[in-house]
Amino acid sequence: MSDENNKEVKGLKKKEKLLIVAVIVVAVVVMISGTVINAFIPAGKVIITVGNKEYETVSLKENKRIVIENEYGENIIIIKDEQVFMERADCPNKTCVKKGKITKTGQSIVCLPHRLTVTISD
Amino acid sequence: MGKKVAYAGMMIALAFVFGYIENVAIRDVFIPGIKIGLANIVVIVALWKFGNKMAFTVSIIRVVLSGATYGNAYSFVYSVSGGMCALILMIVLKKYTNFSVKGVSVAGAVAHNVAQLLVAVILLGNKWLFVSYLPLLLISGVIMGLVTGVIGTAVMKRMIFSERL
Ligand SMILES: [Zn+2]
Repeated sequence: MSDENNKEVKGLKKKEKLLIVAVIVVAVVVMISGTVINAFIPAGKVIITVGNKEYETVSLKENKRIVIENEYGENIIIIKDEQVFMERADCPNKTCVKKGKITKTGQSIVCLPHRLTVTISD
Repeated sequence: MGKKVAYAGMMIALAFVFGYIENVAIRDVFIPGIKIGLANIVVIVALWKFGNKMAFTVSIIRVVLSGATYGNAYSFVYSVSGGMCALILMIVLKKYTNFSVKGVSVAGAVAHNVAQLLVAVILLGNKWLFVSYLPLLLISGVIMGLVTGVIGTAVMKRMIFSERL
C-alpha cells in the first residue's frame, strides 16, 4: 500500500489522463448536440411533468398562466411571447424562479423539491 | 479495534462538515439538490488508509446523517445513488488498476454526478435533462475529482496515524 504513495506524487498516469480526456470529449459532444438541438430544432411545445408523469403539454405559441397545486406545493408557470418562466413557487430554494426565461428547444426549468419540470420540446 | 472506531468517528465527522459546507455554501450549483461531492475526500482517505469496509461505513453513515439533517427523501436517494456508485467504481479501480488517488477520485466524482443525474432523469421523468445537464456534471466531476484527489493525496502524506491498524 505505502509504495503506491510514491507514484501518486507525480502528476497523472497515462491511463488517468486518457480517462479525463474521454470524459471531456463526451461532455463536449453532448454539449454540441445540445447546442445544435437548441439552435436548429424549432421549439414547438412546452411539456410539464410532475412526479415522473406528464402533467400538461401546451403549445409555445399560446399565452398561458398555469397554476399547479399539489401535495408538494404551488408553482405558477407563465408561457408568454414564446418564452417560458416560473413566476412563483413556494419551494424552499426558489432555483426554479431564479432560472429565468427559457426559449429554446431542449431547455428546462426544474423545481426539484416539487418534483416538477418544464421543458421546451420540438 | 477501539482506535479504528475512533478514526471512523473522526472521518464521519469530517465528512459531515464537508457535507455541511456543500449544503449551505455551495448548494444548487447545477440541478438543485445535486451535490458536487466534497465529502469524497474523506471517503478516499478511508479507502486508501483503512480499506473498503471503512470507506463503505463512512460513506453510508455520512449519507444517512446528512439525509436526516438537511434532506428530504429525494435528496437522500440522490446522495445514496451518487455515493454508492462512486464508491463501487473507486474500489474496483483501486483494486484492478494502477490508478493513483487522483485518477480514482476523478472517476469516482464523475460516477457520482452521472448516477445522480440518471436518478434525477428517472425520478423526474424528463430525459431532456440529460442533454442539458450532463456536460456540466461531467466537467465538474473531473474538476472536483482532481481537487478532492489532490487534497486527499496531501492529507494522506501528512497523516500522523500509522499506515496499518
Ligand atoms: Zn422550485
